[in-house]
Order: sequence, then C-alpha cells, then structure tokens
Amino acid sequence: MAPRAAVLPAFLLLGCFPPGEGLDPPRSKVYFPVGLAVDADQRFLFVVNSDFDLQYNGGTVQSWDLEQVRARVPRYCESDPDCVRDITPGVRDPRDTCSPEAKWCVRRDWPQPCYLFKEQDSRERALYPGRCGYISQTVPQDGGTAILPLGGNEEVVPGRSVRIGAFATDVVIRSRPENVLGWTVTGDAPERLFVPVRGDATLHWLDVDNGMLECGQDGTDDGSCDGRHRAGDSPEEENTRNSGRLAPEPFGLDADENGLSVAVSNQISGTVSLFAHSRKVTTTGGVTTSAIAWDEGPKYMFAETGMPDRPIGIATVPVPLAMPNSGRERLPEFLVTFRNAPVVFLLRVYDDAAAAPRRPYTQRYESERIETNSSGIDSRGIAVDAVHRHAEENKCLTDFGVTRECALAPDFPGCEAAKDPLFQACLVPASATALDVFLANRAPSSLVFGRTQPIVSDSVTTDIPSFWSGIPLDVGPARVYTGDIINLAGERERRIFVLCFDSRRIAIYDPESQVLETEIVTGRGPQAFAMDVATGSMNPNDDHAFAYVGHFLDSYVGVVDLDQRHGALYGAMIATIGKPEPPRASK
Amino acid sequence: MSDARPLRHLAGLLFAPLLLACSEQTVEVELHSLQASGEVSFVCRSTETGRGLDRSLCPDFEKGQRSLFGLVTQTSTEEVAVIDTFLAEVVDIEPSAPGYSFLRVPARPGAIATSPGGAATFVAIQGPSGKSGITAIPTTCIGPPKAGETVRDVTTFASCHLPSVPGDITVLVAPPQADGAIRVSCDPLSGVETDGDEPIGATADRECPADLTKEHEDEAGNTVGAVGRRKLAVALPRDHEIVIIDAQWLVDQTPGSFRDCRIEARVPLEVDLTGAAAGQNLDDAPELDPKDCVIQYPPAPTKPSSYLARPAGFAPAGDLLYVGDHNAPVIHVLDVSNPCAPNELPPLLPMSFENPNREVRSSRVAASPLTPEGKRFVYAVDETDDPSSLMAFDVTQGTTNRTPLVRPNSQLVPEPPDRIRLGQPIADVAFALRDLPTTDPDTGIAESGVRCDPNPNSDPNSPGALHRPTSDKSRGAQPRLLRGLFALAMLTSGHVAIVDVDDFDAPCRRPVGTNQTGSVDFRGCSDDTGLPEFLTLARSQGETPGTSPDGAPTVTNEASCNAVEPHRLRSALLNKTNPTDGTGAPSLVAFPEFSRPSETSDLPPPNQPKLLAVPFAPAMDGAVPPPAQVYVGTTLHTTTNTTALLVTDPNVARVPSLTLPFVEPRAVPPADTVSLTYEGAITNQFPNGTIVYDPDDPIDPDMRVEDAAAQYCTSGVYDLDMLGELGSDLGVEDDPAARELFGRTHADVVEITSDLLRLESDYWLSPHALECGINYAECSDTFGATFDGDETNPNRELTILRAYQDRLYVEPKNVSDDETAAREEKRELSAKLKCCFPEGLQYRVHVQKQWVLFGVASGLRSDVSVSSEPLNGETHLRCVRDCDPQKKFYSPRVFEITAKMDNGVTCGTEPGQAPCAVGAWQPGDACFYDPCEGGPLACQRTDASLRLPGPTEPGGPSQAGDLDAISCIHSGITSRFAVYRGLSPSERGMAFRWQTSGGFRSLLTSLAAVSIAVWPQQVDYVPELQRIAIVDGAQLGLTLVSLDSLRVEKPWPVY
Repeated sequence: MAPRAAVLPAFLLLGCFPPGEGLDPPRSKVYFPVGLAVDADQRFLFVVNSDFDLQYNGGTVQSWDLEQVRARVPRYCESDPDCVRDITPGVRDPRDTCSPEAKWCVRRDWPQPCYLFKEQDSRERALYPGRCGYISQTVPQDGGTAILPLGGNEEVVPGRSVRIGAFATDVVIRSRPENVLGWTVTGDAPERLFVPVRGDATLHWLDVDNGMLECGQDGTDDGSCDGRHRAGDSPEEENTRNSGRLAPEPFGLDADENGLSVAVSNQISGTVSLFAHSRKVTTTGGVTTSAIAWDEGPKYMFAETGMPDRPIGIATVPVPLAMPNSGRERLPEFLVTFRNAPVVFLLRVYDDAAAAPRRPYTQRYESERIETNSSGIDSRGIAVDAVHRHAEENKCLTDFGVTRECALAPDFPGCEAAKDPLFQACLVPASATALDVFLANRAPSSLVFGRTQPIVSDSVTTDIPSFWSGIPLDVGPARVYTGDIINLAGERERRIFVLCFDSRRIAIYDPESQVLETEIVTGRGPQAFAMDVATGSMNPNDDHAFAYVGHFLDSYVGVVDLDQRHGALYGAMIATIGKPEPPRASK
Repeated sequence: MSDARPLRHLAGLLFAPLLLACSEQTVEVELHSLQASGEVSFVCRSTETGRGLDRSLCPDFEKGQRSLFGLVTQTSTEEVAVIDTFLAEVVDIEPSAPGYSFLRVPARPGAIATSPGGAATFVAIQGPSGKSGITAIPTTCIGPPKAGETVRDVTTFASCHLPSVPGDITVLVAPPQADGAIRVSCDPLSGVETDGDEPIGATADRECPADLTKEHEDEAGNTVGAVGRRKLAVALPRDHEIVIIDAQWLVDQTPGSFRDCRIEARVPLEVDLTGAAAGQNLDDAPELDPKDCVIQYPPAPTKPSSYLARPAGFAPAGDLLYVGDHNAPVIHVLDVSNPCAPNELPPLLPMSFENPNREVRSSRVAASPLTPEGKRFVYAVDETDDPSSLMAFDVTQGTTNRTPLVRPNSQLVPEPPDRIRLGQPIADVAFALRDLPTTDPDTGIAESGVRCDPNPNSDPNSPGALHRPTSDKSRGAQPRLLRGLFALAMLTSGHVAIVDVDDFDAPCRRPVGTNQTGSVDFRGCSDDTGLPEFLTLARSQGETPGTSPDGAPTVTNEASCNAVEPHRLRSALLNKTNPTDGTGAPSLVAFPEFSRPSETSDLPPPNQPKLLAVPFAPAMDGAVPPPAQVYVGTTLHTTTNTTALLVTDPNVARVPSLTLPFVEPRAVPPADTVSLTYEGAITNQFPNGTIVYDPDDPIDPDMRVEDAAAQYCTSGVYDLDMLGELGSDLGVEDDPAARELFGRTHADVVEITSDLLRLESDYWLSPHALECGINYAECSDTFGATFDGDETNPNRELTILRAYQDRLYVEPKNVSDDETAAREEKRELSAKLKCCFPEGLQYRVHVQKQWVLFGVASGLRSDVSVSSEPLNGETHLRCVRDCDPQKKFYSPRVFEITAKMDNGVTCGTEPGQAPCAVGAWQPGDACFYDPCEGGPLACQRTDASLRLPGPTEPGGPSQAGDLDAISCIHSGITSRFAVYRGLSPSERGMAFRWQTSGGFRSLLTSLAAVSIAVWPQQVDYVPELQRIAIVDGAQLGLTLVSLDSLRVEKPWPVY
C-alpha cells in the first residue's frame, strides 16, 4: 500500500482540469496504465492509461499490435535449431542463433543477448525486472514495424490511440453476440471495450474493428470519445428508473459473456451500477421484431444501492448452458466484493420485460459471508473460473454435435439439435458443475477460494459461492485473474494470478495441486494484467504463453513468460515495453 | 521479505523517541517476526548435544536438558522458524543480524515432518518446475551456529528435487527384516545398516550431523523408539502418487545440494469405488431409513467414469496411512507396514447422507489414537461441503463400514446426520487423547482409560467412582475437564472446537433418574440396565443408595442423557439450569407474551387464543406421559409445583406457556427469539415477481406468479395438494371434499405489497396500459395505490393452488361465494392484476388460518421439498411435502385446537355457562376435543389440559386421551406446545413471542481473543505438553493452548 499511498494525496491536491484545458495526453505514451485487454483473435493488446497524476487533461486507450510485441519478446531456445522460424511461409530465417547464456534466440549479428535493447544494470533490474532494457512501442530500437504505429506526422495512427477521460480504472472487452435467445442484434462492431472513468464518472465504450478504435473521436474537437460513448452522465436520456447519473468514483467492472450487461462498482457510495444495451420490441404490419441495439452501446439503467460500503471487485457468472431451453433468457449475474464488509453479493439482472418501456435493473439476490479467515474484510479482485463446467458442457456439445452458440439460443435457425431432450438431459448435470471463485483479500493478505453449488432447473439457477479455504499471500493483493500457462508437456494448464500491488509480486496459484506455485517479481505497482496464450501451433515453437503486466507506478508494460518448458524463464519478466518513467512525485 | 524485518525494527527504533517526547504514555509496539506461517512440526532436542531425541523424552522439567522445539514454516519468506516451547520464544538463528533470522530453504515450504526419533525434520518445498523437492534439516542445526561454524543459510541443508510439487509428507519406519537386518535402501540387495560405517550425514565433518539409524535410542543408548529405517512418504498430487525416499539418504547429501531425489518406491494411488453405491450404514440411526420415501436430490454435476487420485493430507496410524483426496471421493488407505512396498487397501468412501449425489472430496485427515477399547477413528475434512465439515469414520480393526458414521438423534439436531458442522469452514482436524488417572487404592496403580462409574452401589474409592463429579465441581466429570479422546476441529475463524469422541467421564454426565427400558424417554435416557432407579447416594445410613432422587448425586444431574454424545460437539456448559449453575439447560427467559396487531378493542383472556404447554410424549406405548415442565429463568415450572405452577388448562390459564425439549441439547440454539404468528408470512418479501395471465393461451391459460429467483419450495410454501395431505395427517376426514375444504381453508396466500406505479408514470399512457383498458384510478380503486400492511386490500390476495420452485398458480381470493359469479370475478381481477402491476412485483406469501413459527436463531424450518414434474412440455420442480425422515420434526405450521361438544352442553363465559375458553370448531378445522366433557347440566372436566393416550400413573389403566386434538400438538426440536382457539376468532398478526436461553454452546478455544485478523493453518495436539498447537498464517505464529484452561495465555502466542 505504501507506494500508492504516497502518490495519491499529492495528486488529489492538484485538482482536476476543467474541460478543454490542460495538456493533451500523449497518444503514444504509457501513462499510469490501469487496464489491459487482448482481443479474441489475440492480435491486439489494448492499453488503458489513466493519467493518474493529472499531468494531462485525459487518459488514452491504445491498440498495440501483438504480433510486433511477440516478435520482440525473447524467444526461448535450447539450441540453434529452436531459433529457426518461418519468416514467410516456407522461407526460413537463418539469422537467429541460440544464446547459451540467455537461453533465448538472438540475431547472429548481435554481440550480446540484449543488444539494441541495452543490458540493464542491477539497479535497473531491481526497479524494472528483466535483463534487457525497454522496447519502444512506437519506434522500436531494432528498426522494425512499430507495436503502436505512428503516422506521417509522428502522431499515432488515428484509431490506434484515442483520448478518454482522466482516471480510467479498468477495461473489459467483449465480442458482438451472434445468437441471443429470441433477439436479433443490430449493429456490426465486432468487439467492444468498456472502460470506467472516474474523472467524469462515466462508462466509456469503444468499438474495435481490426485493431482500430472508434468512440466518436472524429466528431470531437480534441479527439476524445464523444458523449454518446460516455454512458452514465445523461440521466434524462439513459436512466429511466431511479433518476440520477452514474454515482461518483466508478471503479471495478465486468460485462456478462455476451457484453449486453455491464456492472460497475462505485467505490465510495456502496453502489453498483448497471449498464445495458437497449432492447426494443416493435410490431409493424403484424410482424413483431425483437432487437438488441448493440449499435447504440450500453445505456445507464440502474443503480443498486444499500449495499455495504466500497464495492470493488465485480465478476460475471458464466451462463449455464442448461438454462436456455426453457425458452427464457437466463438472467445475467454478477458477484461483487467489498472493502468494508466480509461478504460477496450476487446481483441478478432482470430485464423487466413487462414494463413499458423495458428497463433492466439489478437486484441483490443472495450474499455469502467470507469466513475462511477471521475478518474477511477488504476484498478486492474476484475471478470466476468456469473451466470445469465448460469441460463438462463441452462433452455434451461434442456428443450431440451442438455449438455453444446454439445451446445458448436453441430457437436460432439451424439450432434444432439443441432442443433435443437428451441433449438437455446431458446438460443439466453438466451445468451443475461447480464454478471456482477466487478472491484477493487483504485482511489478512490472502487468496480466498470459493466454490458455487449451483441449483439448476429449467428456470432457476444460483451460483453464489461458498468460501472454503485460502492461502496467505504477500502484502497488498489487489486483482485476481484466471488463465492458462503451458506446462512441460506443452499443454495448457490452469492457473490463478493474483496481483499484489504493494509487494510487487504476482502470485501464481495452481488450483490442481492447490499450491502457490511461484511468484512473479514485477516492477512497481503491478495493476493491469492480460494473457496471450496459444497452443496447438503447427510448429510447437510457435506456441507461446505470455502475460502482460501494466505497471502503474512506472508506466510501462512488462511481459512475463508462462511456458514451463522454458525452465528458469517461467514466471520471469522477459521484456519491458514502453520506457519506464517513475511518477513525478517520486522524482 | 527477509530484508523487511530489520527495517521494521529500525522503524520502531526511530519512532520510539518521538513517541516518548510527544506522549506521557508508553506505547508498546509489537513487532512480528513470524508471518505467513504454514505448518509446525515438533522436535525434542538435547540442550547439551543438540541432538534430536524421541519426543517422549521431552520436556525435561527437572534438569532442563531437553527441550521441545516447534519448527514453523514461513511460506512467504521461504524459511523455517524455530520456537522454543519451554521459553516460548523465537530462536534467533543469526543473532548478529538485526531482527530474527530463521532457517532458509530453497523454495516456499509446504508440509513439514520430523522423524520419530527427532534426528531431522523434512520440509516439502514447493516451486515451479525445478524448484520442488524436499529439504532435510538436521536437528543439530536448528539453533544458531556455534563458534567457528558457518552462518546458517540455504546451503546449510541438503535438498533433493522431485518431479512435481510435493504435497503432504510423513516419516515411516521400515522395520528390520526377518533376520533383523536393516537395509539402507529398499533395494533388497543393498547393504545393511549395521554393516556399514557411520552414515555420511552423521560424520564428524558435518556441521549439522544427523544419524537417523540411531535415533531410536536415547542418549544413554537405551531403545526408546521404533527400530527401523526411516523412509519419507511424499505425496505428489500432480502425479497421482506417493513416493518413498530414504530419509538418511537425503540427510547424507552434500549440504546445499539439490540433486534429484532417489525415489525407492512409487505408490500410484487407485480410486476404487467398489461398494460406494451401497449407501451408508444406519445401524446407529435406523429412524433415518427413508423406507418408501423417494427423496429428490438437486441435480449433481456429471460424475466421471473414473477418477485420478490427487493425494491431500496424510494421517498415519500404526501400520496404516490414510490419505485424503482432493479429486476423488475416497480416502486412500495404505498398508505401510513395509514402506518399501506400500499396499493400497480398499479406501474409505466419503459420501453425503444429506445429498448422496454430491461428490465428497477430502482435504485434511486425522487418525485417532486407540481408545481403551481398541477403537480407532479417522476424521476427514469434507472440503466440498458448504461450509466445509467433518466426517467421522470408524476404522477399528474388523469394522467393515467404510462410509461416514451416521449418528443417532440426527432427527433432532439441525446438522447433517453424518457431518460435524460448525457454521464456518473447518480448516484442519487433530485428535487429543488425555487421561488424568486416579490411583487404585487397592493396587496403588494409576490405570489409564478408566471410565467414570455412576453406580452409587460401587465402591466409592474405586478408580471409576473417583471420577464422579464433586459437589463443588473441583474434580470429576465436567464439561471443561477433558479426559478421554477428543477431536480438535479448527475453524478458519480461529476457533478450535472440541468434539467428543470417547469421553471417559460420559457415564457420569446425565440426569439422576434412570430408564431401564430400551425406549428413549423425554430426557433421552434408555437402557440403564444395571443401574438403580436414581444415581444418588443414600441420604442417611441405612438407606439403600439409588432409591431416592434427593440423595447426593453421583452424576452431574444434567437435564439430558445426551449431554455427551460421540462424534458431536462438546458442550461448554453443564446441561442443567438452577440458581447455582445458571441456565445450561433450555430455558425460557420469561413466559411468552401475547400481542395483537391492533389493541384498539379489549379482548378478554377467554377470547384470546392460548399457547400452552402439553405433556411430553411417553417413551413407549403404555408408558405414563411425563407431565409438562419448563425452566423459566432458573426456576423449574411444573404442573404440580405450587410455587412455580405450570398451568396448562386452557379454560383457566392466563399465562402462555410451552415446553422446551430436553432430549437433545444440541437442538436448541444458545439464545433465540421466537415468534408464533397467526397468518404470518412464511417467506420474506420477494422483489421481482411477474404476473402471467393469458386466458386465451391454449397451453397455459391459468394465472400464475413467476419468479425465477424465488425458490418457493425451499421457502416452505404449501399448495392445495400438500395441504390435503397435511389435513390427512392431522386427522381430517378421509374424504376428498373434506380435504378440499381443509386445503381451501388453510391455503397459502400471495399478498401483493407493491405500490402502483405513480400517476405521472409513462406507463399509464403506454400501449400496454391502453391495450389493457385500465387506468391509474381504476387500479387504485381496486387495489389501493399503496400497500397498507395494517389493513390489506383483499384484492391484493391470491390463493395458491399449485406451487413450483419458480412459479405459483394462483387465483384471486376475494370473490363471491357464488361459483358462476366467482368465475367471472376471478377473470376480471386476474386481468387487472396483470395490467395494474406491470413492473417487477413485490409480494410475500403468508399462511391462512394457522400459525407460523419462526426463530431468529433457529429460523423457519421448512418441511417442503421439490419433485421434478412435467408441466406444459417442460420439466419443473413441484413443491411437495418432504418425506425425508430427517425432516420429521420440521414444520413451522401450527393449527389451532378447537372445542367440539356433541352432548348439547353450552359452554362459555356467560353466567350459568360452564367455564370453557376454547373456541368452537368450524368446518375446515382439523383438530378438536371436548374441553368440558359436559354432563346433562354442566361441564364435568376439571382439567381441560390435553390428555395424551396412556396411564396417568405407572401401571395404571390406560386412557384414550384427546385423540382428535393431539395431532395438532406442535412437537418440534426446539419447542412443544398446543395452541387453543379463543372464543373470538384469531386475527392476522396476533403473535406469541418468547425468548430462550440455555441452549447448546460448544466448547471452544480461540485465537480470536488475541487478534481479529487470524488465518489459522494447522492444529495439532502436543501430548508431551498437553497443549493444543495452532499455527496462524496471519501474524500470530504459533500458539500453544492448555487443554485445562482452553485459553490463549501469556506468553503465547509466539510470533
């Protein structure tokens, strides 16, 4: 907590810039990163910068080319043949050789493993773990294609970096839903980013298409997201239930799996806010059309109040496939953690279908006390792992030749097989498979394990977890993520990652062995995290498992190797992208 | 992290002068050297030679030459801390360095185990590939280096590398071969210990020698421990196996080395579920046999056709090793009599009686020492339960039952029959066996395992009699005197609960009255064969002991014979209530109070409903029903005690009363506030129902309230079919019309509590509203604009016809009696309801013409289950009455007993009438009796208290009793009473309220008294010190708690 505590008060004294004043944030710079997200095709990494010290008048969202990132990340090797790779199909690049000392491929003409990226001294390594110096994201030292390309005027290519409000806190990305039970989806933006922004208390939403960001920035004077893409500040247009705008200090968020409902915690008011995409039922000429307005983006709909103070972490609960055959769309659910109460709430989103106009809202449905340690308060991040449930459901999908999309929307054309009673009978016990829930808890510092015991029927399900155990952690656990590493056999294996902001560690927990496997030593203030894992490549050497870590305090992104076949490199920081810059207050 | 400690100390030094300057008070800053502690292992060490010794040799109170040390893993700093249990302080391994230094290991320490003779301790180290293994710490080096020795660091100890992350470890002993030879490895061709030289690890050139080959000897060379080769058994969860490593081999490795472990044997764990489907043994609880009841269990996850074992906690017991499994529903049983060739036996089969479909997996396990009768038990933590709980297995030699024990009295205890549940997750379990033997005056021998003897005819100086409780409670059987075998269940909250397994004093923890029969009486006593009528001494010389209840008791004279029950939580208090002991048995704080929702008009006592105690059920047919009695405060009120009279006659009673059952102390919460409300709500207010009504729908035209989140069945909602069944149980005539009448009379009701949308809402001009043809005024006129809890608009009430978990089929209640008119009225009201309440509907369900029982602590006990039922082409969960025997006493519904007099006598309170104060029977009522027994002119019955069948005195003639009324007696696990209708009809909202105390409090010890932020990791029992060891993963390090005080006392904890 100490580093952050030192920085916070100083910044707060500076106050906020009025709109239109102050310096524009540099579009190419990493600056107090708070969120990272990888697109579905793993082609782009989106970096959300918060402008936390208010040096500028806003933050940014950048779109990085992951292929260029991976091209510069040290490539593990045992010997030279490991370093031969196709530069274009069928053409081998003969220039790489294996450095026996570094255990990664280097260009034959490079005198030492880091070369252009500079070998760090011990002092630098202590601050910015990793052997080599930083890689510039805009003008790579190797002269190759940029990770964040610049246009002709040395500005970032339009659409690869856009300006948002100051004090962003997080990001999630969702793909456009294809099949939604009984609904058509209007709009064609293939992916969408959701970013809570504390500075103007809004939820920004940005469409993503082939790495290009669109949030109405072309229509604003300063190139920032336009008002339509800042939801939550227009109560007369958006919120039709309990009047008012989004509560101050939005912090955590998550979106349901199809991105139609987004829940945002408001950390000073005991409020969780719901954003949802509008649903419209129109009848023209006797034909009724039910459409979800994906193109209109999420609207602020409802504020769930009366909960304990300081809700922080939010995680969506995956949809059990056994539900939709009842003809009812399953209600989205979110789990919420709190700093001031040892409890997790399950919020359920109701579509309020009978109302006119339809106005989705949330309802506190259940709660569960955290009793795995004596106090249980100060919960931060929360993650839900559905890997076991999905595995069981996938068996049914495979056995009956049904796609997941069809299982979610059996009335969709071509999805008749999903209505097979035998398929549904297979799904019910599969969907009853427990979900694993993980909490980062600070009193005491720990990773808390929970497990849901779902009740599944045609129309009823509940996934409130019970918390059964946990392990002590280093100081300052904040966020928790689930993801895969690559094991010694080259297969994916589940891990839980806990970012300990204060102690500069990321704990890697192996849920299978139930042991804390190792800790990643990071730079100062690990705050944002995203994973980039690929297995099953034609050439196993092309498989990779990287974690990207946004370092809040020194403003850069670190790359961690998560391939156990890489020996000592496993769990180590192997690259730094963006020039680290200590916060001004520490200079 | 290790660098942080000196900084913390430094910080403390810097601020100290400032504090002194600014404040007159000295502020004591506690510094914690231990953090993120994991597990502890104890080792006995010679203070002179530093050599490890058999634990039985510690501590040395006389000369102080041997001390017991606790080695505590430090998970975040990759160290092992050493704590001197005698001095209760952390041992600083490197005094020259600031702060405390510990023993460093190469990676995060996991499990830890010490060899039986204490020569070395082995630590499982857990890291990513390449950093997992075992480190050996010779006991000679668990202190600071002597002069000339090197600084202790990670190179001090030998480690070896394992192919995957190790789980639990233990040290086994491979006995000598038949020819007496002890081979140095499992290879039969390997050398023999005694043929070789001194083990490498014990040679003089080692700074930290350890000779496990001689650790069975004390320092004088006497054999004090098991002879044989020490072998490490190490779980490798990822590889689904246990591997065997020679312990001395590891110790012999070069200090600081980290080569591959030499694995001498592998035990791939099998998951053999043969016999798993057989279910659990009900020999101890035959009443739980569901017989013809088909119990619907919730859907369970798909069970795999086979399992891969994932070994969890170890529990060694003699030649057997029990191993929990994180992945499979088994507890592995390994015969490790020859650790070089472990043999896996049929496993224990964890399962859940409550939900047999649930896959039960276990984390920690513990095996008990043998009881005096040679019994042994294994306890395992069910990590898949919510919250995690304990299972008990009887593993006594010759026992064939491999499933969790199902305990008697389970119908009466709100806990699964085969689980010990504490409301919070159980993190670990251990056993404590202790005796405080008395000396036999004849033999002069203090024998262990002697049971308390309550028989007053026994020799008062016999060892068993000497364990009887004394009148001043200074000695003998007491709740806090732990003599016997107990389980220690450590909760994640920092509490350690004591579980009775085999209390040697249990025979003396009971009432003085005995029950010679095999039927259980109202105090839970039975089968007292061989004991006199009373367990009391003679009051005077010449009187035969055991003939009077008034003699000095030889027992604790508790209210129940179940004060101590095997495999249940131990009570913290004597189960007795009196001015001296306080309220340890269930007691009313005061007699119940009656209240009405509106006190505007007077309601004289005869007109009020009456809540009154009734006799206890007799132990068996033909036995005398024990008269009602109840403690109020510390006074026992009975039907004969003139100074504390319990009036149970509804004609004369002015004070509400009830009885609190004595049979099972654990049924009653420590304190409770209970209400019995007429037509009370049986659910909370639901926030989001939807009224669905489309009379033109060809599939489902009936009106219903749908609410996917409601779980009506779980809440206890009844529909007409269920009420019909209930009526039958209550004695309603076996006739469809009578059942229908009973059901309609008592049907549950949905009460809409939503307000209408405001007049200015868009809704009233929306197409939906226009299509409905309604407006705000019309809705307001029909339903009222807002909900008035005091005076409910009858149009807001809907009778529940059929109930499902997510939907209630309903119809408006407020309609004409005329069938034709009613049909149209229902249709109209239904349509209006749907249109006037378009938003998420707020509503609740209340009962009708009956009372509902609710306790703040005990809750509302639902006797409703679910059954899959087809409905309009889908499968839905229909609410059904739960036939599960476990729910036998679970009903919150109480029906009034009415008066029905067929002899023409008019009873009432008017002058000249007989004094009858019980309201008259009405069609649809279930229970009635004749409180007057009128003769031709007047009432004949002098006592209108309900009479149960049976004699009024032992051996007397049996009476029929008030048979048509007794089915309405409420006989739950926490209360027993009847409600008599008053002369005026009962009104909705009338209530009786009472508070209870003296319920069950479990015996606990707790770290929470020291700190609220604890993270307990391990519990163990240290028999040498008779203390419970608790390791805290937060900041409290190691705590030793005396088994006598069960309090954390200075100087503990040590951190």
